[in-house]
This record gives sequence, C-alpha cells and structure tokens, in this order.
Amino acid sequence: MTVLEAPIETHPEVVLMSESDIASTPSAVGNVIMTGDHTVIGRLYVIAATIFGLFTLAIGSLLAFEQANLEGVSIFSGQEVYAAMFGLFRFSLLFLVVVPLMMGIATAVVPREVEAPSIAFPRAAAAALWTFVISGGIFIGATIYDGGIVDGADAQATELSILALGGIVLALCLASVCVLTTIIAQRREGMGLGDIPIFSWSMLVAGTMWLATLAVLLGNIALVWVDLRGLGTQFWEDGTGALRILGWVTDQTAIYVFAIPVLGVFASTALSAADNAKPNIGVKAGIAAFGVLAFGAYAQPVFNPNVTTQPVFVVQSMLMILPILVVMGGVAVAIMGTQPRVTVSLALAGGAVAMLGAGILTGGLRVFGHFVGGLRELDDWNWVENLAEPFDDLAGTAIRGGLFRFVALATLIAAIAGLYNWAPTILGRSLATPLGSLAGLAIVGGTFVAAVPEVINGFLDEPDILPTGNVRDGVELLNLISGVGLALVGVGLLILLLDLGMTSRRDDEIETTETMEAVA
Amino acid sequence: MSAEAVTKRVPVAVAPRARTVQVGTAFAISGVLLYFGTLFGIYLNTRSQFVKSGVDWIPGDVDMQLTAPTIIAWTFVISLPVAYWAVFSIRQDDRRHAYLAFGLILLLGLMTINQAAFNFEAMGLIADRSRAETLMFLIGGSHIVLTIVGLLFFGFTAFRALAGQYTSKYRDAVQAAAMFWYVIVVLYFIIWLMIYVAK
Repeated sequence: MTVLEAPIETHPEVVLMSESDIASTPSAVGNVIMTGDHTVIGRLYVIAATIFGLFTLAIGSLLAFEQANLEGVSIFSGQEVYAAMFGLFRFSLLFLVVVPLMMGIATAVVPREVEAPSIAFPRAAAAALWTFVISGGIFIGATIYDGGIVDGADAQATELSILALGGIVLALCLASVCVLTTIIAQRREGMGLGDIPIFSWSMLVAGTMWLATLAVLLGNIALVWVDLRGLGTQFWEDGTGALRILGWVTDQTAIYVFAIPVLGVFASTALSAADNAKPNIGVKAGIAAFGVLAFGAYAQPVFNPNVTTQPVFVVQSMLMILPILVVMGGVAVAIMGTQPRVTVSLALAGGAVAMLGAGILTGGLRVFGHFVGGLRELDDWNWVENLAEPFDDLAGTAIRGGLFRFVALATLIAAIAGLYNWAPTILGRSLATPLGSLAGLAIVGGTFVAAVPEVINGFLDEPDILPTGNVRDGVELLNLISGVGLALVGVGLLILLLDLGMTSRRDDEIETTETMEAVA
Repeated sequence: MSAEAVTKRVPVAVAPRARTVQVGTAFAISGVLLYFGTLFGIYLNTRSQFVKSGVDWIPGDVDMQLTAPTIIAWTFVISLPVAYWAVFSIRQDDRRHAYLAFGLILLLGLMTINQAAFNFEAMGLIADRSRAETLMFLIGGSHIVLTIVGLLFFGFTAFRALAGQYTSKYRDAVQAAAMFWYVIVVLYFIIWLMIYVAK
C-alpha cells in the first residue's frame, strides 16, 4: 500500500458525498452565509455598503437641511439627537460605506490580480464580512434608539453603539490582514513586489495604513467604552462625548489613509484604458508616499491639544498634494503615445482624483495660517501676515466638514469606478454603461455641491458641530445647497443599486474571458 | 475496493504556501502592537499631566503590590521556552513532546489569567474611580483578552496537530502561534515595568 502524508486540504471536487451529506447540504442562502469564496464575499461587501450608504446619505442630507434654519432644531427632536446623528453620519460614511466598499472590491479583485488561489484565510475574511454587517446594523440601530457616540443619550444604547463601532473597526482590521496576507504570501511564485499590479499595490499600501490607523482607533474606542461602562466620569466629558476622542479619524491627516486606493483605481483604469500600458516606478512611489504622508493617528487633539499647529502636522498637510501630482505625472508618462479609451470607470476615477485633490487643498487651507506663521518665525516675513489672516482659526469650523466630504466621497467615487472597471470579475457581468454614466454624474456632481458650501461656510465662521444662530449671512442657504448635494450622491447610489439589480437578473453568459482580460 | 485503489483516487495534496499563517500573524501582531502602543501612550500622557500638576497618580485606595505581577511575569518567562519547545518538537517530528508543550502552554496561560484576576481583586481596582484606575483596568483587561486569544490560537493549533496536520515540512501555524505568544509576553513585561514597577 502506498503511504501518503496526511493531506493538508482535500480538493472539494474529489470528496464523495453520502446521501445523508447531500440531504444536509445548505440551501442557497446557507451557501451565501457560509461562503469562503472571495468573489462572493466581495459582492456581499458591495451590496451591504451600498445599502448602508443610502441610509447614511439620507441622514447626511437631513443634517444639512436641519442647518438650513439655525434658529432652532426642527427636523430632529433636539440638539442631542442632532449630535448623535452627526456622529452617525461621519462614522457611517467612512466605516460602513467607503472603506467596506473598497474592501469588497479588493477582496474580489486582489487574489485574481496577484494570481493567488483565493484570498488568504477565507473563513476569516467571511467572519470579517459578517462581523461588519451585524455590527453595522447594531451601530445604526443603537444610534437611532437614543444611543450614538455622543453624551446625553441613553447610556446603554450609547454603550452598544460604541461596542458596535469597535466591532466594525475590528472587522475591517481582520479584512485588511486577509488582503495584505494575500498580496505578500499568496501571490504567484516569481512575482516580485515590483511586479504587483497597480491596484493591488495601492491596497498593499492602504491595507498597511488602515491597519495602523484602525488599531489606534480601536484603542481609543476601548478607552471610551470602558470609561462609559464606569459611568463616564474620567474621559467622557462635555456634550460631544466620544466624538471628541474619536473624531481625529474623520479629520486630516488620518482621513487621507482611507483615500489611498483612489490613486490605485485611477492609475489602474487609466493604464487599462490605454491598452494595458505598464505602470512605472513613479506611480507606485507616488502611492507609497501618499500612504506614508497620510498617517495621522498621532494627531489626537484630546491628548495633544496643540498638535494641529505643530510643524510636523502642518508640513505634512501641505505636502499631501505632491504624491498625487507624482502619480498623475507617472500615469501621463506611462500612457504617452497611446490612445486611451474614455470609459465610465476612467471618467469616475478621474473625478475621484479631482475631488481628493480638492479635499487636500482644503486641508492645506486649514493649516495655511500656521504654515505662514512658521515662515514668519523662520525669517522676518511680516508681509505674509495679511495673506494668512483669512485662514486663521479655520480649524474648528465647517471647513472640516467640507474636507471630510471631499475625501470620503472621493473614495466612494473611486470605489464605484473600480466596481464598473472590474464588474466582470466581481459580478461575472459588465454593468450597464448608460446607468453608470448617470450614477457617476450624480455622484461626482453631488460631491462637489455637498462639499464646496461647507468649505465656504468655514470662512463664514460656521462651527463644525452644533451650529448656533451666531453665524454670518448666507450660511443657511449654503447648508441647504450642501444637503441637496448629498441627496444627489444618494440618488447616484440608488442608480448604482438599480444597475446591480438589473445586472444580476440578466441571463447572459458569465463573462469569464472578459473577466480574465479585465484582471490582466 | 482495495486500500491502494482508494489512495490512488486521492489527488496529491496541494501544499499551502509557506509562511502564509506567519505573514498573517505578523500583520495581526502589528495591529496588536499599535493598539497597545495607543493605550501606553494615553497612560503615560495622562500620568505625566498628573505628575506635573502635583496630584497623586494612583489613588490611596489602590493597594498596589509588586508580588502578584512579578509572579505573573515569571510565569510568562517560563512559558517562553515552552512555546519554543512546541516549535522545536514539531520541527523534529516529535509529536509526543509537541503535545506536551502545547498542554503546558495552555496551563501556564490559564495560570497567568487566574493570577491577573487575583491581582485586580487584591489591588481593589475600581474602573470608574480615577483616570489611573480606568487606564490600568483597560490595559490589564486588554492583555487578559490578548492572552485568551493567544491560548485559543495555541489550542486550535494543538487540535490540528492532534489531527496529524503539522510536520517538520509544514509547521507554519505552530511557529505563528509561538510568535504571537512571544509578543504577549513582551507586552506583559512593558505593562509590568510601566504600571507596577514605575507606578
């Protein structure tokens, strides 16, 4: 008898099933829930994030419409509810919509790109997905049930909200580990780090920075949760509650780490539109530099009140635009001499980079006053004083909301661009181009309309949270316009969901050949 | 059907990529280190503010003794060579000693958890009385959770080893579990120095 070593994994196709096994085979729903298939996991991320996105954008619009009349609270039942919804909007848009959407695309696409047999630790990837979905549902439910991450609400619901937020962050950490391990340990033999396709490269940088940022955020969440369990007497201060301690993650420069894949999607779609032109070192170096410069988990004003005025933070914020220019330059050099086809995904990815650039310029404006102050200390440059005056004291104003919207929604646009680009890989079929154009127009236009008024409101002294009646004329109208912009983004997502639904009902052949071409 | 015919129908097993579990564990460890780094940073920052303002950092009601934390530290020290013993035994295809090492690690890990719980009780720690206690409770509690995760990792590896999975050629998960355990021990030593020795 031949002696074999114990097989490590059994190929599913050679397992003989007994009748009792067949009888206990899970249903279609069971198959989806128990799946370890990275493509299915990716699809589920996309669907869940899109549904969460519709809800989040509706809340965001209501918040903006609420601010359209600053004489009192009329849409929500009180300031506490308004503050709770404000926290829900910021954290949901980031952790229930933008990051999971990109994670879903990465889960489906990265293993194919690096020619791995599957995602590393498929069961862990599935566990991350379901932890995200369940925690996301609990986070929204607990916030609506008088919870949220602000003070003054129902204590138990607030505890549950924070615990659920911890679950979401933990799930995203786990999903990041799976994607990173796939790229590092599961890629094809002989494929060096320099050979990794550009989107996978951006996910390698993004996953590393996400893990670094989310682990720090998890530490903060654990602190506020334990503090709140102990009746909130130590760190849980003033009316903004945990938002004060956790808010750094929705602010510069930490928020930029979530936008790293924007550059990867843009470069990837541009290169594939130009007959699969080869990426150059500039593109990859630019993405890596963006990732390194984006690290902002150290900038926590609660524990270091002056951090946003310190030279490291100011220079870091001012330099953020450079890697984007390097990536765009690298892409331009790579596609030079070719005739790139303009596709929906390329147009969307271009829009995403434009919005990200606008967000980074907004961030630059916020620290410009401190930057000029630093220059004055270096030399006797008093002439710049007048130049810096309009930019003083912008830090706590609505400009922060504008920056958040620009960057978060840029990432959302890039994710949708990725979805259209890799639809054959993720869904097995291409998405409808006309609907994609319509959705893209709504989302890019909506982002611009939602973010620009917030930036202007920053100069008109509107505070970021809990505005009062003491603001300049025009703020209310701009808030109304901003709300319309968010609603427009929501309409774009609805069109995307419609396109996803119609595509899944189409009975054409699964485009395996196209899938492989798209991946290549 | 003869046994030979059955074995011939089984295809050659596809060997998992080397070091996949170790790479995944390394990423997880980096996350863990940043999590604890955050807590340590908050602890030191808050303590320095108290010290600067001349207020006692640790309230008088807390009975902070060094005995129990030091015993925990020694227990962790003993567990270090035992974790390596598990890896070494698997590398030598010495399964009996590997099982013994796995068992000992689980025992030593449970001992540290028991001692940590006793230490919290003996100190009279109340989570919401002061910032120091909130942070000590959080850091100590997080380390207990991490120890439980490490034990589950080792337990899972031991379970698979009992099923005959790991060999001298494929010992990735055992090495990863040991690596994770070393980090747990190092983190405890930082806690021991920062909280109990430096006070």
